[in-house]
Amino acid sequence: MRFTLVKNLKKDRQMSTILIGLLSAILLYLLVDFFVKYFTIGLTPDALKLSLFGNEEEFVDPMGISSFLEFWHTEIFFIMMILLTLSAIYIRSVSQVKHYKFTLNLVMSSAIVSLVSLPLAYYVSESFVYLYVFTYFLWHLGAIKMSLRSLLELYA
Amino acid sequence: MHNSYKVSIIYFVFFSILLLVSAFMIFATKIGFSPADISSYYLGNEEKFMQAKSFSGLLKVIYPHIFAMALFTMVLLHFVYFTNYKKSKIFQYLIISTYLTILLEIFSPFAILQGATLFAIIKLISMLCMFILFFYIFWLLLKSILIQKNQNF
Repeated sequence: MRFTLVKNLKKDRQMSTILIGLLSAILLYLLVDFFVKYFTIGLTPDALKLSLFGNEEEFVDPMGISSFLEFWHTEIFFIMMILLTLSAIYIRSVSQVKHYKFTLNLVMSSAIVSLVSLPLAYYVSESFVYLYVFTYFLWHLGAIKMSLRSLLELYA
Repeated sequence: MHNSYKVSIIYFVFFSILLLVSAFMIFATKIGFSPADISSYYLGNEEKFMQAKSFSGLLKVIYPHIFAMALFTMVLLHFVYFTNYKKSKIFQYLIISTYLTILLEIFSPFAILQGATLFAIIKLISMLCMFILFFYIFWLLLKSILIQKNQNF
């Protein structure tokens, strides 16, 4: 996180180019994640319910506890590392913008709520899938906005 | 340090707590919290219809954890570096003990697989120590940001 010590990122062409590369990769990751989720556990409440709980009529097996916990564990790790990196760049590059704190808090808190709602859906009540899907899109769109905003600031 | 970084660090601590909760649940579901459970998980148990873990199977689990756990530990400890605990002796001990604990936690299953069942106890102790150390680091970070309102942070 050496870039947090650079006084003016915009004037430092090398460091801003390095960060543009990283931001582009984060942006791609967030976009590809939509496809990965769509083809694995599903992106709609019904598709997610089918993946988690299965369906006897359609002969779809429910997701096992071990598989679910491993999936959840991996998701937490990747999301926390991506959002920590993205937030560090975002704070450093757009700290002048008035409402950036709102976006930062919205993305972070909705990502935490989405991660908490997933086991709640699995163990407590399947209605939590609606909360998961809503907060999943909320933090993804917020993170995409943060990436684009940082990219624009670094390009300018 | 920019004020907003503190917000990011607080969120990072919450994510970390979730990560440890999920790790604890995986351990509870798949392995268990007694040395006998741990031995059965790695060496197999006919009565419980459990197959012994193979060397390659163990490698597949351990391989991503070596880097991921070291990275996670480094990120957490480097945040502590910006607090008032930077120059305290306890921080130096914390760094060494955390890395030693995660190494033991990761590699002790290999010794269990070689028949050294004593390492089932070491695996259990190292896992519990790892949880205690991580939660202590979380406490130091939250205390520095929220209670002491550390200006250097």
